[in-house]
Amino acid sequence: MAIVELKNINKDYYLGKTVVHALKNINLKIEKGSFSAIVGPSGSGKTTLLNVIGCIDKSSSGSVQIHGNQIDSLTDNQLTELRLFNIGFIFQSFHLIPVLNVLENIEFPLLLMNKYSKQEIRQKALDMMKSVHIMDQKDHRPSELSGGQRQRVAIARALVTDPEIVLADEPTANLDSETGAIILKLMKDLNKTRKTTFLFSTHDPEILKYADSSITIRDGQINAN
Amino acid sequence: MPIELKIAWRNLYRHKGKSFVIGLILCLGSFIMTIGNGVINGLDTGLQKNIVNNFSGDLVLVSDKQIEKTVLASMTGHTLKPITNFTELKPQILNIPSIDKILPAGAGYVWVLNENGNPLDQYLLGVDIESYLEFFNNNLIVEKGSLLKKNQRGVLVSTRMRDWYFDFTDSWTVPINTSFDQEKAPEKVKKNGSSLQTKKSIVYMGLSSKNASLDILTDVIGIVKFKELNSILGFYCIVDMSSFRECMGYFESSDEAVHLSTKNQNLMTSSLDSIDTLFNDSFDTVNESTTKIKNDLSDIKHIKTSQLDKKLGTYNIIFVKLKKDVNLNKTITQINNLLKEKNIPLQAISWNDAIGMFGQIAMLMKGSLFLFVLFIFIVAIIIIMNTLSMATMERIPEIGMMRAIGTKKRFIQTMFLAETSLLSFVFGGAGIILGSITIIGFKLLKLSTSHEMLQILYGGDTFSPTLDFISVGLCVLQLSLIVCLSSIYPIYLARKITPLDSVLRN
Repeated sequence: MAIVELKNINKDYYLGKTVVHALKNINLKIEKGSFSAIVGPSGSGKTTLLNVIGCIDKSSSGSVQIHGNQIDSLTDNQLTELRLFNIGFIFQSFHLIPVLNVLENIEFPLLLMNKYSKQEIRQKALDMMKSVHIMDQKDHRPSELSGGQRQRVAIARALVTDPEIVLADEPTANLDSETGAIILKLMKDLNKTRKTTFLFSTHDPEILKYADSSITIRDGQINAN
Repeated sequence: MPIELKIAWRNLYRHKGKSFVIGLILCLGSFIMTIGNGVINGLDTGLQKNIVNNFSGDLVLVSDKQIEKTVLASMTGHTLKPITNFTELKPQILNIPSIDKILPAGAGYVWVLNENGNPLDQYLLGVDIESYLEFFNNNLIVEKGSLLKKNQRGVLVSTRMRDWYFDFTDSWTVPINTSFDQEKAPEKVKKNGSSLQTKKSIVYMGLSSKNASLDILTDVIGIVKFKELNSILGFYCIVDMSSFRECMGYFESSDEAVHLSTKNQNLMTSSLDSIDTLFNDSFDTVNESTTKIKNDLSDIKHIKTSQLDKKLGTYNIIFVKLKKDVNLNKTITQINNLLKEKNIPLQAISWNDAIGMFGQIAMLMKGSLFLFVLFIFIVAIIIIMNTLSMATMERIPEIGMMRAIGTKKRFIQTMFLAETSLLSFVFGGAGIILGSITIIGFKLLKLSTSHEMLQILYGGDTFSPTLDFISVGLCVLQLSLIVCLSSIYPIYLARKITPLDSVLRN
């Protein structure tokens, strides 16, 4: 069953009078529970594709379906709710809230959901911290953590809401190769244990070995799937 | 603590420097606004207290034929329409429920005639001195000489007018039965040395709508000072009521007793142009000057001989003090309606309308202060808005990321509002407290002035800015408005930040 389905997606950027075709006629299906990678060189359109799938950016034409929902006609508030309840994000630069500690950062999306009690939120966050092995850093602020620890917090924050899909844009780009491997292994483990769909972008062929499937993109077009 | 407030508080702490700068502006702004409000309030209450209690009462009653409202500080020189039957009206006025006590008087514009030939203009107040002092809480301080005694004729010259007389005539006014004290005299007077002329009497000429009426020679009984606002209220000198009536051409019963012979009557009606007629037996030419006087007196020509009884009393103004806790504007309307209903030929004018230019200057000062406070208010808004907008732009990645993981625009808006509210609560509150302490400090310092403009600004001789609950509430309201207005644009910017902005910045 496809959790994400893209049909004839085009994305154009306008730089003055010049039109940049970032995505060209993309047709793609991401299966539920998969651990897929989008591979391609810098500027190939990986991030743009992830942004369109993650409802962060809108396509110029074509249709996007996430978990059966057609997202093209959704309002800003509806898209925000879709991201909150269905999509988890892991960024290259971690993007944690600097003024909140590790526990609070993980609790944050649960608070936004307005669905759980305080105790439930706390318990879910602690469970998630255990899963990503950062219990010792519970009270630390992001600035007091290493890159690997920050990415673990970001993974925990992305997964704590039990999303349908987690999108990770070059999650290991700011990490050394050893830490990057550990992070990918962690993501893979979580994919297996929680059955969460992962879609991550990378330009490093080394980490492709962790992916179940890969999508190669070049000049905005999918070359191989 | 709600998460929005927690993030807001920690964000402020994280950017201590920036928060401190914005906070300092808020603190300074609210400090200045508090002082400004205190001064405006002090000006209001001080003027009201000092003028109402010591000079005008809460309101004045004047003839219903009176058109000009600035009856106590008219710049036009128009005389007030006379109230010819006060004794009859008195019980009816005192029957009005909101009125506590009244004082009939005469107020008018006069010329001070002098040897230079250039008359000096001033205000003259005719009163029964005992009733006046009782009504206005012994508002006069005797500098030299004494106060008027019962039924004594004469004038109490204010220190201000004494100085003015000196500036114009080079003669120094001293009360009768006293002598010039060189040691106590001001430097400018001392300079004249032995050539200094002293004056113990003054010639006043009452002014009417038809120009001058009669002149009187009055003895100076005392040099006095108003307890408060002497620089302003000192434009008035106080005379006994009989002298005032005579000066303004209001006849009394004693005037009726003068019986002229036919010869003298003919002389009165003769023309001054033909001086020869004075030596002529016929004396039948109509005298223009006499006609002028008759015209001047046209305002009271309807007075019948029987009404010329002194007891009926001709005045032109009645000072009124109202009972406590009465709303002035409402009461004036009520009194005016009642006066019309009962056919009493009077009208009520509020004290601030009656004092005319003083009130207008006070309003001008109040307006200027208000504009100054408004200016501070706008400057604070612009500076805070600018700083917050810059801070918002610096936080695009953070806000964009929050939006990406599911934060709605409303949350971002609340977070920003919480940040500015916290800042204004802490620093703005500190500014209001500091301002209040400064106001108390100013009160304790008891800064006094004799400068007339400053006296209006102070609302009295002493600078006493006042803060009541309403003024503090106004400060809080102004601060809240600053917070809201200065947050609008930064919040608008923050709401516009999309998750994509964060990704692109990255």
